[in-house]
Amino acid sequence: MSGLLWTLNDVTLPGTERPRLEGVSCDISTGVTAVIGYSGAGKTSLLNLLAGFERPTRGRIERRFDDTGQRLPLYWVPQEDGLWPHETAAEHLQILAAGIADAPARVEKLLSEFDLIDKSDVVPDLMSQGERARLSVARALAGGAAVLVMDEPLVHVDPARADKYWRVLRNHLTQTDTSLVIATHSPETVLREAEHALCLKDGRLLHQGPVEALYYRPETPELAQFLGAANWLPPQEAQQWNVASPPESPCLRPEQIEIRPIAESPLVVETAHFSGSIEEVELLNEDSHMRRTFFHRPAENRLRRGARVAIHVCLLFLAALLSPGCDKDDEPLLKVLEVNYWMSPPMGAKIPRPRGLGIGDNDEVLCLDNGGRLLVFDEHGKLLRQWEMPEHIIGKPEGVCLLADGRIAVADTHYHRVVYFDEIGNVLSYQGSEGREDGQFLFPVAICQDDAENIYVCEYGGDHRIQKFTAAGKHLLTFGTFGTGDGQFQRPSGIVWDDGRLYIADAINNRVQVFTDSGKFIEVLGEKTGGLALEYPYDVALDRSTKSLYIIEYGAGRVTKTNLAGQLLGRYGKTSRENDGFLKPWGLAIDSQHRLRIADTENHRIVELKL
Amino acid sequence: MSLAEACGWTLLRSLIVAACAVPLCFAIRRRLLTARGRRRTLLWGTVLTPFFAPDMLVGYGYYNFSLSLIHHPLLNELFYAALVFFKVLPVGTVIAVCTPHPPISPQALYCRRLAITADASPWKRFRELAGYYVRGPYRAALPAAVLMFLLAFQEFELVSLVNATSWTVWLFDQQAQGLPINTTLRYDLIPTGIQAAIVIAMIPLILKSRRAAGNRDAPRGAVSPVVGPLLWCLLVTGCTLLWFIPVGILSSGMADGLVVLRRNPRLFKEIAVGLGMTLEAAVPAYGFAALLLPAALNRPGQKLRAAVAILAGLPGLFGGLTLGLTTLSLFQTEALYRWYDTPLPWWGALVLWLLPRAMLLQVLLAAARRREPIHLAELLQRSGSPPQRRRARPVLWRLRYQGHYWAVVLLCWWSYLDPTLPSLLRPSGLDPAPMRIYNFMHYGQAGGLSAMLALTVLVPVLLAAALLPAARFVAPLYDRLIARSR
Repeated sequence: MSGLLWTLNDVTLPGTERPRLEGVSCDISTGVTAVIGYSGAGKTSLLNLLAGFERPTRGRIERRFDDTGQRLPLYWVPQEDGLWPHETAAEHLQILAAGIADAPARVEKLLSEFDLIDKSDVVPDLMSQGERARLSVARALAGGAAVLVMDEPLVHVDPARADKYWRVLRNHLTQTDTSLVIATHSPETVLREAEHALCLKDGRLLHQGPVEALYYRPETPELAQFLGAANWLPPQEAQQWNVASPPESPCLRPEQIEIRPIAESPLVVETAHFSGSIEEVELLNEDSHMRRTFFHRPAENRLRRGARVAIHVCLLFLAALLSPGCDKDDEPLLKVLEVNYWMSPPMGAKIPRPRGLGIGDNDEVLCLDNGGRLLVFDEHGKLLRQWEMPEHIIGKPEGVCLLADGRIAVADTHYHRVVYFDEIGNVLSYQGSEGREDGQFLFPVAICQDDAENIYVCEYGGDHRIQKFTAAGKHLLTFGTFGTGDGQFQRPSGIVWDDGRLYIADAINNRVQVFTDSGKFIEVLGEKTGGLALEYPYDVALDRSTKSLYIIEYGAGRVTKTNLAGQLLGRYGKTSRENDGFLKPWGLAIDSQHRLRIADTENHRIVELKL
Repeated sequence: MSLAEACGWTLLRSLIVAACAVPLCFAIRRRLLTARGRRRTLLWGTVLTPFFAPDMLVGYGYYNFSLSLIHHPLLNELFYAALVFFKVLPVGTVIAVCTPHPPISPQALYCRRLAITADASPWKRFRELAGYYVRGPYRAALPAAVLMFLLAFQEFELVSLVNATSWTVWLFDQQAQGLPINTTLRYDLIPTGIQAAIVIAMIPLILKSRRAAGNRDAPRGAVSPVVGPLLWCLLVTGCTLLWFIPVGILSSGMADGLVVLRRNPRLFKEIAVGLGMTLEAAVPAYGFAALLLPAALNRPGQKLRAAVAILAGLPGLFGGLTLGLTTLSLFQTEALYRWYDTPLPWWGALVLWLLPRAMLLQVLLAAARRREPIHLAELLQRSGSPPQRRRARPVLWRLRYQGHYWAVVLLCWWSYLDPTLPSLLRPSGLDPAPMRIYNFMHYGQAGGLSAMLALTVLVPVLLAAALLPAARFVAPLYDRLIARSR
């Protein structure tokens, strides 16, 4: 399903003291749309209208997706769960799953994924609020509806487990091509889940547009606040606080600035409140006697009252602002001779999305997808063989590498291990278990091997680190911690080795970092050559013959080519569903014939670029 | 005994019954709100069962017992008061559960008490807290107290059979002995005036309570462990007194009387008359109450409907006897006399008598019903998949229609078993079975009478169960009709 879901035209809903919605006009597209606003903004009212639970007293709502065939067109998760008091948990799901293929298995799976197995025979009255919230979401997924409308789903679930359930929901949306409209006042949820945003305040629509634009380029400070803490610094204020003025937007998010202690500075820390992911720092400018609160994202709680500091703006983020997903005219284009692609093979009724790529013997393409499969294609895209991971209910693997001894190593991310297969898919061995100790893993995501056959594994759970092992699995080295500083990572999701150096895609920090293969930090790729703007680099590959690095950017939907010093040599692609770009690409690999293979994830295909 | 004495005695008894029942209603309410699953269902069943015991069954069961207390009138009065107590307790409990929380919560009240210094005099403490108690817990108790008082005050069928004292018996006897209707009505002004004063004082308070409702209950402190078992004992006692013992007495003599049923085919016709009039009155009463429901729910812009609801519901609040006598008097006027010997007076009075009950049932159903689960079932019903649509139908029946079905059944049950209105208003030749059997009861217990009573009470129960599948079949058709018309 593509295109528009709803068109609203001057929609109004009355309230007691003021209208709950007033003159709301907007389009709601397929994909994930977040309706954001504080309490009383009108989120629930808008979702009630979309779900058909209420009707506007003025204006029109046009629904554009009624013809969904045998599929349930729409389902709803109301704020107050809306469960049927006389039905047990299992019965709720069975009712919605009626007539769907494999209904009993689907029900069982959903109960398991939402940790409701032991509540299967229990009615809602005997469940906790969190359990009811989970059941309400599970019920909506059971029906297989084309569009889901969810009013603050999972808000009553403890945060420690909510991520897991969001993952289930996310996977469902992608696997079944379902669109979702959610109401939330949590910026983290919006940033993590949504593509489009509608901002409401006092019943009026303030803004609609892509989430990314709202996050990085909001038009006003008020809009900036919808997605969490922001430092709003128009040019004069930036100057007063000795901050390099951002060219496009006065909005700097916490991860875009760093407040570092320095010996001499007119800026003095008055208070600093560290809350884990963000630090709220009140600074006094001794020269102007002005005070102001800043938000930044340090790796640890370092600032103390009285410390003198300077505010640094992360160049890479500035660079990302300068090129928000589109090629600038003055950037070199990557010369591509030919573009081919092949669709991911179906898995039953589903078409899984490819994620991790590697190159096998004879330039075979090894592909991991979100169906839990490892597919082996020949160099022309013909499927030679495939097998499924031993387990993949909890999650799917994300990294694959052909080792020198012929084994295929797969970073089995959600099972916290590395699985070794032979060339036809027999499991040879497992390495690791869940944990933070050396030799254990938390969400391993990428693998590479050096010429000495040492294996490097990147992880993004817990410490965001790299571990080094011998080919036999003996632990040699661990390096890297979570953070934004040099040598720190936020999701190291791609790695390649060359000549004693490791090039590691540091996705959330929007950079590639260079280390020695003994774990010593060398540099951020590109910082000595004028900077390299990247948007969520998810994977990196090396063309050994030309010593060129290729970086796939999940956020920008493109491939970037650099030399080993990080000098930009060319870019190709943009965020696109067509043949001129990619949509949230995850992985890439390059074979001996200089053919780039790209896992164009959201487009369900593997793209070949002949260079 | 004079009317004034009878009124005074009834007033005293009703006040004591209501006052004793109120704290118990709220104690049971706390248990009901915290109980879950089967325990909750069992508790509700035990609470409500005594209320559904037909007065004529209870009175018949204890007829001989109350006669044995003829030389101990005080004991008989106490016994009757106990029966009435257990009869009205379920009503008070339901009202207590559904009454909006007062604007001053127990926590708020406690905070106010903490703010009074330890050295404050008792008079100062009373002065500062009185208003809070009135706006707080006492306000929450008033609707339950008033309704229980009214039911106890206007009770007639049971008191008549157990030979206790009541203004209703006094008035009915006077009218039966030939007192002109206008004189009877003048006598009726006293008890009606007492009830009217209370009802009229309560109406604005109830309407205000809905607007000023407070927050949800918060967990309270620890309750004595003795309370739970005591409450269960009380509830089981009610069920025993009002059901098990009378049914036991009825059953004991019934076997010999079964032959009477064969020899009395007229009974079946009278049962049919009773059921027919019941349905003809209950369904319109429920429908009319449904039209007035938005007023009861205090939606904006419904002031006219609210006024009509109050006016229409008032006559039924004064009990069957007052309503019957008033209707009788009206249909003896020149304007309406030609309708006197028709079913119209009986039907009209029955509808008016049922109307406040129908409105209460509608309000209770609306309070228990949540719109979101119903809408979610409707969404499923619009699926393109036939299996999903099929699964949605029983869910919708359960959520949307089942409550209405049993509410109408309940109205039919009450109207069918009422002997007062038909005694006063039925046309010649149209005798409903409950009325006739009630009249026979005043002459004592007998096997044949027991069998007739048993049949009379059983038939509507079996009919309600038999009609249920048909109702479940009709509801989806109605749904489809509505869906197509959209």
